[in-house]
Amino acid sequence: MPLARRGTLYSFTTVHVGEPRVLGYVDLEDGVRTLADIVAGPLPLTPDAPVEFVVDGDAWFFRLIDANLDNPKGSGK
Amino acid sequence: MTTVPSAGDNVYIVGAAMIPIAKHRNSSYVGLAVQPLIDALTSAGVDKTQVDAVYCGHAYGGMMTGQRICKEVGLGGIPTVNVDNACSGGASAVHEGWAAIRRGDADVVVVIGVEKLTQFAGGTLPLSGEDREVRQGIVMPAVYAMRATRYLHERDATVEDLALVSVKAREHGSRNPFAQMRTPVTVDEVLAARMIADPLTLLMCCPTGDGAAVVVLASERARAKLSAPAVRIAASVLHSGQVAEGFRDMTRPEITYDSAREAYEQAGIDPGDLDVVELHDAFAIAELVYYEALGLAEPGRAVDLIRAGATTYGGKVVVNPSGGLLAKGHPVGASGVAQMVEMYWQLNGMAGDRQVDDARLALTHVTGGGTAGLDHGACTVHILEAVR
Repeated sequence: MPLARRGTLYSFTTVHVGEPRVLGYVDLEDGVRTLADIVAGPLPLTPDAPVEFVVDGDAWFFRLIDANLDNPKGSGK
Repeated sequence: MTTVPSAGDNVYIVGAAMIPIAKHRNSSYVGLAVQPLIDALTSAGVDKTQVDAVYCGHAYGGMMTGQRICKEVGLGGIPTVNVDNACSGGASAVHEGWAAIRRGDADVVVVIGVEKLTQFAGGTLPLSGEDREVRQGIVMPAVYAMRATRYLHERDATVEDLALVSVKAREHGSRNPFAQMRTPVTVDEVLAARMIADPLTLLMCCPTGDGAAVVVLASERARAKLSAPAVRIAASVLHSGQVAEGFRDMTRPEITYDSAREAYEQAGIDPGDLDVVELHDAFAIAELVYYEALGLAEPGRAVDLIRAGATTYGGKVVVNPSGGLLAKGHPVGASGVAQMVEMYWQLNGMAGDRQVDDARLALTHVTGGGTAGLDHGACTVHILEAVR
């Protein structure tokens, strides 16, 4: 079953255990919550920010939609 | 289901002991637990031949931890059950012992909580690799950090409020010879400490340590033959988490709300009646969230308590007089029993420099286990009453 590719960032943290890594919970538009790596881009992360699903090679993550204006690769459409 | 106690159904703690929580790197699980086992039996005035059952809480002790400990004192030939419920393991073992006495299966039960976290290389607690979020990289500090990020976003709260929790814990711990962290810290020191998972710094996280604690439980008729100080278990509640694959309010941990509500009902008291509380402050944010979940603060008002000093000595209710998990330490499976030992001492006026004046009603709370889709895997709430 395909899931929605956009959602809102419920919460997040940068984990400083080993290499720093940003993890967050994303509430997808279809109601599913998923844990994911989060990429901020130039704008700072904030709870309730809109995010979208991105596949980059073997990696997948969510990034702020506002941070993505110059790169439509992750638009998911 | 709620079990309402009836007259004659009383269960008491009649003996208690623990070792100081520390990095006991050269000790085994057996080595950690044998001394408090002997001390608890001695303090209760109970001979090993009087013990009807043993429950042993631990998470990482391996097979037959309880049996390996008990054989060293010749305690055997009785039901002995090992209980794993992560951070709730020790208190779950108490709950099982309480239930065995309530069922009439036992008159005297020994409950052991023991853990050796220095067996691991350091860093965060090992979690089950079968869990999907664990495979994605979740660690316990990240769970609580996301709770904190959301809490600070929704509430009129700051990182300084989180730091105040750690400052209080370390001040209380400085009075406790059983605490792992005994030096007071300042707000500035807490905020300047190494970042673990933002906004949580190292001093907002419980330390890695080893420990063991033991309590002896007795039925009404067994207690009548003993002369040791006692406390009555007025409520004993154990809940598992309920799965939610969608939205979950991380500032409102419903497993603790529900467990606490059931405990207050069982004991027939209100949160405002409590004199002293030991709650699950594994990370500083947890204390603020649990003030509200346990009904010590109105929703959204937890920071008022910590800012006003309402949860330290001289305040409305003393929370974590032992120093809590942040300062006393958190050897996972031992912590729930260690909380009971602290309250046995508090309610009998035996808590030394950290004694809460005229403490008569106490609550203990542990919850834990990072599992995808659950708030927490398990939550245990006990209410204890002085019988002096």
